[in-house]
Amino acid sequence: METVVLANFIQVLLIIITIALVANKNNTVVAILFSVSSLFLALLYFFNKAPDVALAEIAVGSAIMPLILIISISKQREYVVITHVKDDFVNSLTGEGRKVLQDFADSNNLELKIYDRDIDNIKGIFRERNVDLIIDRSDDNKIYYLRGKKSSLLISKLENKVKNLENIKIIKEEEVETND
Amino acid sequence: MIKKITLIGMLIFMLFVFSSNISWLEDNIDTTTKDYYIENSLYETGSRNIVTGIYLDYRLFDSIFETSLLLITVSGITFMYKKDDPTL
Amino acid sequence: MKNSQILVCISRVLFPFVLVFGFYVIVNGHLTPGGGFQGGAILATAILITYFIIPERINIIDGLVRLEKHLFLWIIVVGSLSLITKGTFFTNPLPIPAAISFKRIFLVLLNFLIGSKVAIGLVAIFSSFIEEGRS
Repeated sequence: METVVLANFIQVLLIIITIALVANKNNTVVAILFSVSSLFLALLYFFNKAPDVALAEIAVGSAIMPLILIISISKQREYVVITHVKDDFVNSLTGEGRKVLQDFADSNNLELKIYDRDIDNIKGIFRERNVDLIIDRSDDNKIYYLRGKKSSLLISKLENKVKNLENIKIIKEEEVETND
Repeated sequence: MIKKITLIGMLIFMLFVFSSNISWLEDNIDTTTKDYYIENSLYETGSRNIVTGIYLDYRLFDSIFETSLLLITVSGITFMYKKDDPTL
Repeated sequence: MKNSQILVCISRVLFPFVLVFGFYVIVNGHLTPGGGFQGGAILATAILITYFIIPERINIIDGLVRLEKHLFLWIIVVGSLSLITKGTFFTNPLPIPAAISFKRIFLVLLNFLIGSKVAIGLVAIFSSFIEEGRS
């Protein structure tokens, strides 16, 4: 009789946790709530006489899945930039573009990562390699082109930020459709 | 607004259907398979845990292809992980 | 990546118990609740704890996948042993009137193979995720 009352209580708690899980906007909180909800679900399985399922639920749902979620979230906090420019624009810490990008990344709570390797195939690179920005330079005049995804929210913010600078221009590229 | 009202109406309808089906199920449970496993699984498979007796003897075919599913998942994930290495 | 001292200390205490519990669930799969998949998942969680203790780079993922393929082949071979004795695939190779303690050898062997395969597969999955997040 007591276990029935406890099981009903856990069911109500599980509904509340699930509604909080759906309504919450913060990703880290969502990962923790997922772990908690799967713990209570395992307890419910145990009360309904299915200890096999409870063991699998505890191991997979409350340890491995939150780890994968948290790693994916920490990957989201990077702002990956590829530069084809060899001068001091972004490569040195005091360059003009570097300052702008660092400022932008700090204000959005992101971690700036700059790579200066050449990549032959530019098409489809945003989607496959998770690159946010590519920096190019026109040969005749001193204009630097920053190319990014058109659908990204961050590129619009960056465009607002560099509106007043004359030697930086932003190009928004359409995403290339991939076949997979 | 219309979408929300339609959604809530559908949810109430599904709740009604499921609850009526549950009361119908309680009277019509077929227990022949359960009784067979409870009586014969220790003698036929040598396992005290009936679940293990089922998934390692009666339904071993299913279990083997379930493990192959995990193998395919791991191969796909490691393939996507290695794809990033040469360029970036 | 530097972890807090409390997490490392508690992980060091917890790791052997989780490891032993995983092996217990796998080996006693025919007596108590649990079995190959559950024990394998618990073993993978135990190996996950070691990443909190020693945060190093992992470069054995290819070897893990290769080992998992070999274990899958072994599972199929052990499951197909009944083709020789009984003439049908995927059942216990010993005849039904045989002693229970002999028939359990097959169950324990298959549980052990499935458990190690699941543990290696889950370790390969989250190792590649950890490496991806670290780069």
